Amino acid sequence: MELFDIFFYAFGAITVIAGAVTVFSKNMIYSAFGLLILLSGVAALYFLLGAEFLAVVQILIYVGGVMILLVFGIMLTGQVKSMPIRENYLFLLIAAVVTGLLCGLLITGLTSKTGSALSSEIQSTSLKELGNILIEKYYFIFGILGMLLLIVLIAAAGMARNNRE
Amino acid sequence: MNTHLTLLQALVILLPLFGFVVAILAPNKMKKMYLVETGIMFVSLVLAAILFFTKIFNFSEEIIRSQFTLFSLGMGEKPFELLVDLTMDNMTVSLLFMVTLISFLVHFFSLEYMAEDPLKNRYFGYLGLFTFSMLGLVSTGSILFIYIFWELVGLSSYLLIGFWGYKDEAADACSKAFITNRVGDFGFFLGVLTLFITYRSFDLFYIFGEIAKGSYPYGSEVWLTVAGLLLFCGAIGKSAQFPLHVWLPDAMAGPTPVSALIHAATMVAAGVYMIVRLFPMFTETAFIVIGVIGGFSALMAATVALTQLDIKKILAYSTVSQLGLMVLAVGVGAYQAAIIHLMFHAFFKAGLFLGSGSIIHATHSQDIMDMGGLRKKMPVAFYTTLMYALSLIGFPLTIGFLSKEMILTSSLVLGNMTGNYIYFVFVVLTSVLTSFYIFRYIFLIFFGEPRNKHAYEHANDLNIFIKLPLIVLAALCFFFFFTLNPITLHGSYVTELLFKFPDILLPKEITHGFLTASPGNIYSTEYMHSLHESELLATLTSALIILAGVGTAWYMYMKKKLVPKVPEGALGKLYLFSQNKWYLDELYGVTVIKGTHLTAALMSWIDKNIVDGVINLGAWVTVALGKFSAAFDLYVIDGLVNLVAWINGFFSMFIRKFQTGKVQSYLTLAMVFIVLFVMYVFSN
Amino acid sequence: MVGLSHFLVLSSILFCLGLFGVFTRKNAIMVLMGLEMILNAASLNFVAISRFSEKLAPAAGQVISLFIIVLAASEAAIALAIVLNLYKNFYNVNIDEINTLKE
Repeated sequence: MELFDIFFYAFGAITVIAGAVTVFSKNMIYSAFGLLILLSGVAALYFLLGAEFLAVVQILIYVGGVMILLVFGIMLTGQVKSMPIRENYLFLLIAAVVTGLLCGLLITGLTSKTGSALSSEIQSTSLKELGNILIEKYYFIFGILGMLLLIVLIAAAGMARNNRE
Repeated sequence: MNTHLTLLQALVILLPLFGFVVAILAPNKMKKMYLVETGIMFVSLVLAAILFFTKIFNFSEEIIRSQFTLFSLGMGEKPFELLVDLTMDNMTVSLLFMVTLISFLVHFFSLEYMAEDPLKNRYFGYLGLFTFSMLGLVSTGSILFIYIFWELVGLSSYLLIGFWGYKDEAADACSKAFITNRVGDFGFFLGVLTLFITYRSFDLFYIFGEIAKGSYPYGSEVWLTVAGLLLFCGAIGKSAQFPLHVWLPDAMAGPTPVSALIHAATMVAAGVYMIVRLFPMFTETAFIVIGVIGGFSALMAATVALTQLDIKKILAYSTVSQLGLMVLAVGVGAYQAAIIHLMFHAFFKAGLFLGSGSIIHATHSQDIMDMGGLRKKMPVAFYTTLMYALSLIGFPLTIGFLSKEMILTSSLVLGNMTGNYIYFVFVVLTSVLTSFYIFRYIFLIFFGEPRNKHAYEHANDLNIFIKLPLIVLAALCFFFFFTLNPITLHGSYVTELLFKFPDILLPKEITHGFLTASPGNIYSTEYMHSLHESELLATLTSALIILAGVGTAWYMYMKKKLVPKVPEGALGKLYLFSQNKWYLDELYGVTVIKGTHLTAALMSWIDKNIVDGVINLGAWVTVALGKFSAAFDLYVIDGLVNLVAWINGFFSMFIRKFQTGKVQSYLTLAMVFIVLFVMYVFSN
Repeated sequence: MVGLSHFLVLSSILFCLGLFGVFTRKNAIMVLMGLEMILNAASLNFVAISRFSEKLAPAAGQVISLFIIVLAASEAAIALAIVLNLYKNFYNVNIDEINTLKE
C-alpha cells in the first residue's frame, strides 16, 4: 500500500459516494452539493495523475462556473423538492438493470483488455508542454472551440432573453 | 493631361445624371431640391466651358479617346469586347458647351415659368436626365452608345412632353412622339446591326477606316448605301424630317422651356449631329436621298408655318424647316454648314421659344389672335425676339446670316458643278417663306392694335428669371462671338477649329461632284474655287430673299393690317391646305391608324373563330380524357391506397405503445438495445 | 498497486451512476447533472489512459479533457437557457410531463 494507493482509494470512495448522493438524493440542493464534491474529487484524481493544470481548470470552470449555473437554474425554476425518482417501478427496474449490466460489461471489458496495470512514476505535466501541444497539434480544434464559445454566448443570451412582449 | 480632360468630360456628362437622381429621389418634404439640380447644372456648365477652351486652344488637332472593356464575349483569338467609349473632338466639346449653356438657361427660365407647378422636383430631374443623355450622345465614338443615348434622349423627351399628362393633349402628344420615333429608331437599329455584323465592332473610327480601305458590308456598295439610309432613318425620326415630322408640332403640348431646350435646340439636333458624325460612310445615293428629304421637309414645313395661328406651332414648323435645311446641307456635302447652322440655330430658336414662353406666361394664351401690340408692354421680349427673327432669316451681322449663307453657297456650288439646282431652289424658297412667316409672327404679336384687351392688360416682361436667358441668347446672336469678319465664316475659328474634321475621319473616294479621294482634303480644288466665286452671288440672293419675305409680310400685316383668316376662292383652298398641315395627320389617320385597326379586327376574327375553335376542341378532348382518368382513379388507385393505409394502421397500433413522448423512455430503450448488442458482440 | 484498470473501473462506475441519473430523474436540471457526471467520467478516462500509456504523451489526453471541459461549460449554458425557456412555457421543468413530442 503506497501513499498513492491510499489517496486513490480515499478520493475514489469520496467521488463514488458523492455521485450516489447526487443521483439518489430527494432534495435537489443535496444533489447539487453531491455534484460539487464529485467534481472536486475528480479534480483531486487529476492531481494524482499529474495533471495539475487540468485539476485547476476543473475547479475553476466546473466548481466555479457550471455549478453556479446549475444552482441558479434550481433557484430560478423554484423546484427544490420535486419527486426525485420516478414512481413507475417497472421503468425504474429496467433502468437499473440496464445500467447495472452496462457497468458490469464495462468493468469486465476494460480490466480484461488492459490486464494488470503497472504503476509508474507519476510526473506532473508542465503547463508549457500542454500549451505547445495545444498550439502545434490541436490549433484547428482550438480555433473552432473559440468560435463555438462565441456562438454559445450569443445563443444562450438570445434564448434566455425574455421575449414574451 | 489628356486623362485630365477625359475625367473632366466624364464629370460634365455625369453631373446632370447626379442632379437627376438627387431631384427624383428627393423626399416629398424637400420641395426645394430642384434648386440643387439647377446648381449642379451650373457647375456642369462651368466645367464644360473650361473643357471647351482647354481643348480648343491647346489640343485642337487631337481626338482624345478613352475606352475600357465592359465585358468580353466568346473565346479564341479575337473575342468580342464591348467597349465603353468616351471620345472628344472639337465638335464634341463645342456641342457639350452649347448643350450645357442652353440647358442651364432653360433651367434658369423654368425657375419662374414653372414656379406654380407642384412637381418641380420631377420636372427639373427630367431636365437633368435629358441633359445627361444629350451630353452622352455627343461624347461617344461608339455607334452602340450613340444608340443607347439616342433612346435615353427619346425617353426623356417622352417624359417631358407628357409632363402635364393630365391634359389629354399632352398625353396623346407624348405617345405620338414616342411611337413616331420608334419607327425611325427601328431603322437606326437595323443600321447599327448591319454595321456590327460586317465589321464586328461598334467603333465608328474603326468602321470608317475599314470603309476607307474599301471593305463594304456584304462586299457591295449597295449595302453601304442601305446601311447609311437605315441609320438616316433614325435621324428622320429624331430630327422630325418628312414623313416622320408629325410628332414635333404636337410635342408643343409640353412646357414651353422644354420645347425650347428639346424640341428646338438640342434633341432634334441629335439627328443632324448623327448624320454629320456618320458623314464619311454615306455614298452618293445616300447623299441624294438625304438632300432631297431635307429640302422637301424644309419647304413643306415652311409652307405650313405660313398660316398657323398657335404661336408655338409656328415655331415648331419653323424648327422642322430649319432642320430640313441642315439635313440638306449634309446632303450637298457641306457638313460644316450643317453643324454650324445646328449650333447657331440652337441659340436663336431656343431664344424664340423662350420668348414665346414669356408671352404665353404673361398673357395665358397661345393663340396669335389674342395678341397684338405687345411691343410696348413687353420691350425685352420684343427686342430679343426681333434679334432672333433677324438671325433666323439671315440678316447681315447676325449669326444666322453666316450659317445660312454657307448652306446657300454650298447648294449653289453643287448646282454649278452638277447642273442640278434643285437643292438651291429648295433653300431659296424656304428662305423666302421663312422671312415671311417669322415677320408675320412678329407683326401680329408685337405690332398693331391689341386684339384681346384682357390679355394685353396682363402682359409685362416679368422678372429677371425670364429676362436674363432672353438677353444672353440675343447677345449670342451677334456675329462677333464667332468671327471677326461679318460677311463670311471662312477662315474664322469656327470653321478652322470647331468643326474641322480630323484627318482620320476623311471619307473614302466617292463621286458627288465635289468630293475627292486626296487625303487631307475632302473637297476638290475646283469645288473650293467655285465656293469662293459664288459667295457674292449667294449674299445678293440672301438679301433679295429677306427683302421679298419681310416686304410681303410688312405689306400684308402692317400696311393693310390684315387679320389672319381664310381667303376666298382657290387661294382659300391652298390656305386650308397649309393650315391643316398638308392633311398629313389625316392621311396617317386614314392609312396607318385605320390600317392598324383593320388588321387588328382581322386578327380578332381569326382569334375568335379559328384559334378559339382549335382551343375548344382541345378542351373537349381534355375533358373526356379527364372523366376516364377520374373513374380509374376512384376505383383502382384509391382502392390500392386504402389497402396500404389499412395495413399501416394495423401495425402502427402495436408500435404506438412504445411512443410515450417522453425523452427518457426513448433513451432507456436505446440503451437496452446498445447493451444487448454489446453483449452479443462479447459473446462471440 | 493501483494501475490503469483501477481508474477505468472508477470512471465506469461514475459513468453508470450518471447514466442512471439521466434515465430516472424527473427534473431537467438533475438530468443535466447526470450529464456532467458522464462527461467527467469520460474526461478522467482520457487523462488516465494517456498517463499510463507508453505511446502517448501525457499532455495529449489532458488537452482532450480540456476541450471536454469547454464543451461541458458551453453545453451547461445552453441547457440552462433551454430549461428557463421550458419553465416559461410550461411552468415546470419536469421532462416527463413535457411530452408534446407525442402529439
